[in-house]
This record gives sequence, C-alpha cells and structure tokens, in this order.
Amino acid sequence: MTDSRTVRDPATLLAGASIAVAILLGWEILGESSTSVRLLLSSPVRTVSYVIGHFGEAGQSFLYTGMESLLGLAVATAFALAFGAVCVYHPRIGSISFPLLVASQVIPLVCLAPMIILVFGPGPSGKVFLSALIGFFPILTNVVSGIRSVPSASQEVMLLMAAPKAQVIRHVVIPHCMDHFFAGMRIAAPLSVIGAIVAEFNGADIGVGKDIFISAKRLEPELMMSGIAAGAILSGLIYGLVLLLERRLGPWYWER
Amino acid sequence: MPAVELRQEWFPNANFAGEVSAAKRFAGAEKIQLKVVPGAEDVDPIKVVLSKGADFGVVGGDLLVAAVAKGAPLVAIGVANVKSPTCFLVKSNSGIKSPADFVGKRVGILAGTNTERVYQLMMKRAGIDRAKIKEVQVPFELQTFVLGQYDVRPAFIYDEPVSLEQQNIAYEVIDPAKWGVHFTGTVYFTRRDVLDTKRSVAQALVTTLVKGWTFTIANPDASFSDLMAAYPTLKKDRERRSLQLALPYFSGENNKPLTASADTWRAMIGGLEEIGVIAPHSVQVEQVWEPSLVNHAYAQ
Amino acid sequence: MSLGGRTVLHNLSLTIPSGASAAVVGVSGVGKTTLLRCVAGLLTPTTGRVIINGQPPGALYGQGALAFLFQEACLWRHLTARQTLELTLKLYGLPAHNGEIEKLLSRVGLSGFDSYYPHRMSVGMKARLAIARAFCVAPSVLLMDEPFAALDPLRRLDLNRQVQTMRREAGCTVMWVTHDVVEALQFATHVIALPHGNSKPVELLDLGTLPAIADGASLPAEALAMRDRLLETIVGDTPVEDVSAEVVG
Repeated sequence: MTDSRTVRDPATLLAGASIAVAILLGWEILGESSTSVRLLLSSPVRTVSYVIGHFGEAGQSFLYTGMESLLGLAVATAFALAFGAVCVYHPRIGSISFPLLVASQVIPLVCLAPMIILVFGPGPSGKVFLSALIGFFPILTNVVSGIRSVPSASQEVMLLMAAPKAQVIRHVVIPHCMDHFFAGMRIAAPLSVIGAIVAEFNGADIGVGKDIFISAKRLEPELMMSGIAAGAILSGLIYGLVLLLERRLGPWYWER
Repeated sequence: MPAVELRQEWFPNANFAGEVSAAKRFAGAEKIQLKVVPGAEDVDPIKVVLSKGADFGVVGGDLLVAAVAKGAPLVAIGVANVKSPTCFLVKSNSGIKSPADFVGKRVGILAGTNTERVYQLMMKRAGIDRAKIKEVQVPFELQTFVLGQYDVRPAFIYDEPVSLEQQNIAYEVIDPAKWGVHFTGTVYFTRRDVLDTKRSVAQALVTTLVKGWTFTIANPDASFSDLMAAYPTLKKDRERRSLQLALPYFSGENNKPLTASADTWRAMIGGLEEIGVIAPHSVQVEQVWEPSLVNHAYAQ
Repeated sequence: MSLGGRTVLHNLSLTIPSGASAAVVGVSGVGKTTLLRCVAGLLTPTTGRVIINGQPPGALYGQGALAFLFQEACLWRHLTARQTLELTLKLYGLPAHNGEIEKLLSRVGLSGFDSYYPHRMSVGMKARLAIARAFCVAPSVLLMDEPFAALDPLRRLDLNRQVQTMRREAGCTVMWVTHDVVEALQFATHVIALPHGNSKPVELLDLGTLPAIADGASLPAEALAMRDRLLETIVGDTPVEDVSAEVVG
C-alpha cells in the first residue's frame, strides 16, 4: 500500500497546490488576453461563472453521468466477483470462459458504443452497460489473479478442518484477494466514468458526455471546459469512494 | 502556388463534388493548390480555423453566426447551400404530416448540428409547445430511426432519404421552409486576418469554388467522375442519387453558386435571435458575411 | 510414490506408535515433505495406503484429530489471535468455553496479544499462534513440515520444546520433518531416515534408549553413534555438505 505519509506531507501538498494554481493562473491570463484562446478554451473565471449561471443543468448532467458511472461500476464489480466465485467453485468453467472475456476487451469501446445504443436504445441502460463493460475487466483480472495466488497451504488448512466452501471463500479467498480486488477497483473507477461519457456521445438526453459532444460541434468553450472538469471531478469522487471503502476494511488491511 | 486547405465538417460524400472538381479543374488557373480535407463526427471546422489549423472551412451558416456572436473573428466568404437542406423524416405509415403531429411523439435531436436550431425555430413558428414532445438525443446512425427507436428524424434532404430509399423504407418529408424557417445550409468561411493578409488567396479560392460548382451543376456526370476518382471507396449508386438531390441546393441565389443576399442572412440571424441562440442585435450581417469575393468572382 | 515422473519414496512401510514424536530426516529432495503430505492425505500415494487410527486420513478431516503445521503459518490475516482460535473452534463445531482461549494463548506465550493481527506479529509469534490453533482441539496426530525453519536457532529450540511438551500433555502423535539430525535426536522418540536415491529400505529407528541431550552440551557417545548411523543412511554417496548436523546451544 502506498505510504500515505508521502502523499499527505505538507511540502508535497503545497507543491501540488502551487502547480495547480500556476496552471489556473496561466490559463486565466491566456484566456483573457487572447481571443482565440478564449473562444477555444475559455478561462477559469468564465467557466466557473458559466457553471454558476447554469447550475441546474450542469448539476443534472453531473448527477446523471455520476449515477450511470456508479451503477456501471457496481455491475462491473458484481460480475467480476461472480466470475471469481465461478473460478473457485468450478475452475474448469473459469478457465474456459476467461479467454472469451479477454476477447471482449479487444473491440475498442468507441466502435462498440453505436451498436450498444442500437440494442439498448437512447436511455441510461446502454450507458450503464458500456460503463460496466469497460470497468469489469481490470477488476476481473485482478480478482482472478488474487484467487490463483491464494497459497495452497492456506486452503489445505481449511481442508483439514473440513471447512465448507463458503467459509474458505470468506476466511481465506476474500481476505487474500482484497489487495488485488481494490487494485482493480482503483483502475476501474475512472474507467467507469469514461464508459458512461463515451456512451453519451452516441445519444443522451442529459449527461456530461452529451455536453462535451455538443461543445465539440459548437463553439461553446465554457460548456466544454465545464464538461471536462465535471468528468474529472466525477472520476476523482468515484476513485475517492473506492479508497474510502478500502479504508473501512480495518487495520489488518491498511496497516499491513 | 500557395497550398490552400479547405476543412470540411463531414466525411467525404456527394456534396464534395463541386469542391473536388474545383480543385482538379480550376485551382491551377487561379494559381492555388486546393486540397479538400474531410471532416468527421467530432470535427468542428470553426475551432480548426480559429486555432489556425486551417485558413478556410465549411460549416453550417447558423453555427458561424453563433460563433461570430461570441466574438469569433470569422466571416463567410461564400454560401454553399443558400437554402438549408435540413428536413424532418417520418415513416409513411406514421400519420405524421406536420409539426403539430409531433405532439406525443418521439422526435430525434442531433445535438450540436444545425438541424437542432432549425427544429427549434420550426416548432416555435408552428406554435407547438415542445414540452409536449418527447425529444430524444440520437446518434448519427440512421438505423436507430429504422428500428423505430423514435418517430421523427432530422436529416439532410440529399443524405438520409437516399439511405432509406436504398433500404426500401417508405418515408415522408417535412420541410421547415413551409413554416417560415429559412436558414442557409453550409457556408465557406475564413478568419478576418486571412482577408486582411491573404486576400488574393481567399479570392482565388472563392473564384475556384464558383467555377467548380458551376461546372458541377452543368456537368453532373463529369463532376461525379471527379468525385469518384478522388474518393474511390464511396458507394457509387448512393452518391450519384445524393448528388442528384443535392444539386438544386448548391445553385445559389439567381442560379449563381455561392451567392446569397443580405436578406437571406438577416432571416437566419432573426431566427436565431428568436430562439435565443444569440442575443438580439448582437450580430449584423456585415459582421458575418463578406460578399465582395463572390461578387468579384462573377465580375471577372 | 511417483511425482512428475520421478519415483519419490519407494519401498516404505512404517508403523508409528501412538504418542511418538517421529522425526523425518533426509537430504533435500528425498521426499520428506511428500511423505508428510501423503500421511495427511493431501497427496495420494501411487501405490500403498496410509492408515491413522484405523482410518484413511481423509476420514479424520473436520474432527480435529489431524492437524498440520506448514512452513508458512497460514494464519487468517483478517482475524486477531483471539478470533483465530474462536473461528477454529467454530469450524470444528465446538463452543469456546470461558477462559479456554486465554489459557491456550498463555500456553504458547501469547498472553496479552489476543487483539493482535498477524501483520503485527513477528515470525515467532505467528508460529506460536499456529501451534495454538493446531492444539485448539487436541489433535491425535500433528504433522509439522519445518514450521520453525525461518526462525533463529534459539527460537526454534524454544518452539520445538513447546510442541513436544504439548504433545506429551495431549498424548498426541507428532510426525515432523527436519534437516537437522541433531535436532531430531534431541526432540524425537523415533527417527524415519529416508535414504538418498531410495537405494535402501526406509528405517524407523527407536531412540528410546538414547540419553537426553541437554542444550549446549556435547553429544554423548550413544547420540554421536546414532548421528553417524543416520548420516550414513540418509547421505549414502552424497557429499556431506548436503546434510545439516548442527549442535545448537
């Protein structure tokens, strides 16, 4: 686990904050001094003013895409864990299915998105599906990797106790796999947002992806920058949620 | 000879015919090398030209007006489609004949395109409350309409109808002009500083395009051959039919390609003010339309 | 017994008396762990069978009669010392009586550490908890595959002594693997010497008449003779440096 002291060190935080402020300041100066920069990239002050002035719509887009991303991540997690259970109970089925799941990732998401919309229609279900599709694989590979690395001796201890499979999963497989699982979740969290946004490019009534798509077709720099910022904040929030969940596991996990 | 790039907004299609013929047959005489650069779904020629990725672009006239209203130093130098090809398609058996029939139905919206503005103005002029309509953001894929995911499809008269014909799907066309919506279609535009510093190049481009489109209207078969030679992967039958439907839209005012009157522009500016895309009196015709280059081309 | 196309353990027929402490000695790769895993039922011999108290080893699973200490402690990382023993009792379907867990932890020298998770424990503490878990339900057979190998000699000595004391108190039979012939002489009642190359039949030597070996003391003559005999059996033509024969203390 990363040494959190390094991340929370005041000097590091100050350096990071200074860089962020410098970037924002540079952007503001450029945005206000150059017409083309203003029209293409807006400026921080204009973007924030736009968000405040359109808070209702911006908030709705944010919440909608957030909901799609969270649901997508939940579906991805459930599927990955279910497949992990299949690997434990029926290793042969797991071995046969795994290459097929790898193949599902070969098709680029942007190629799949229009077809998904055809199948699911323009509603949120297609977005949740795409979000789950892009997010499940890192969780799955890490869970499978975790399961495969459970020491055989640990399983043999349970065998000698004639422990039921559910207890083996609960007390050996799951604790052992937590590292791997959360490593996958940390990767999947921002990916789930990407999946939802890309899906919205192909037709959405509301959402961050729709805002970005419209702003790509029109000269609406504030809408574009606020959409990009919304996507970044959403990714950060969902990532933070994963870290919070990790934290709740207990000292046996985060003190190791 | 200066190389001139014209940044299109969409993939190669029959509407490139005049430009392709212009590049092949007339650019040399005007002492320029003209290259037509295709666009894509996510390409915005306005941003490309603003960022100086290209000096000249092709974009919907309404989008250009909206950009100028925001202070973009851009100006139209020729009007490709003096009448917008935007229309609304419904299946023949849908029973939908007019905007009033949209009430209670699902209407597809192509977000970010000029069809969206045309739709908004059409509904306003028809006096229809849009809250009573289920507006659905749809992708460019026509199959979503064919599959019946929504009832009304925004389209260009020389594009989607051709695809429907090829799939033997019967359709009806709702023309926004009947409800007083008179927008232009695509226009050729550049930055103000290009007119100041490279006016001769801009003039050469406009003259080339005038000749190109004049040739295409008079010799559609030859122009079509130019198009197929430039883009051999285009589907011949489809694009031939598309060009056939498109030619009237490229004829210009008084059968002079690339021309448009100030009144045409005022009508569109007024329409955009009416639906709140631009603030009232925020754009004057002179800010967005520079007809002198086209006039000079015809004077030569 | 064949493993990977190679014959490991050949011509082996042993009867270990109840209550014995049987050390399995031999050079690396001769099959000590394989033998132990066969006895535990974790490996099935190619030919032959294992019987423990009249039953195959698999029949003893879940009864608490058969326990195994692996080289890694294999503790449940998410459970404290107390919770580990509580779960062990629960898996065996036994209630935890008042003070029983505290007594057991105290027995292995882990008093006051009941709230510790494995990640906070030293290697020695983890080994102690593993011993406590094994003796939670008083096994009749305990198998040990060098669970103290990672410890320094003094800790190893201490834990070996701990196990042998608990063995005598519980009356259980212990079968354990070691590279250290002298360690075997110190703590075993019987020695199973696996000859190198499977060239000779496997002997079960009764050490009952051997005098006790004190820590740090030189080996008495009888012990020296037994050591040499064992070395001759297990080494055969193998260079001497393959075999450990240290005196600890």
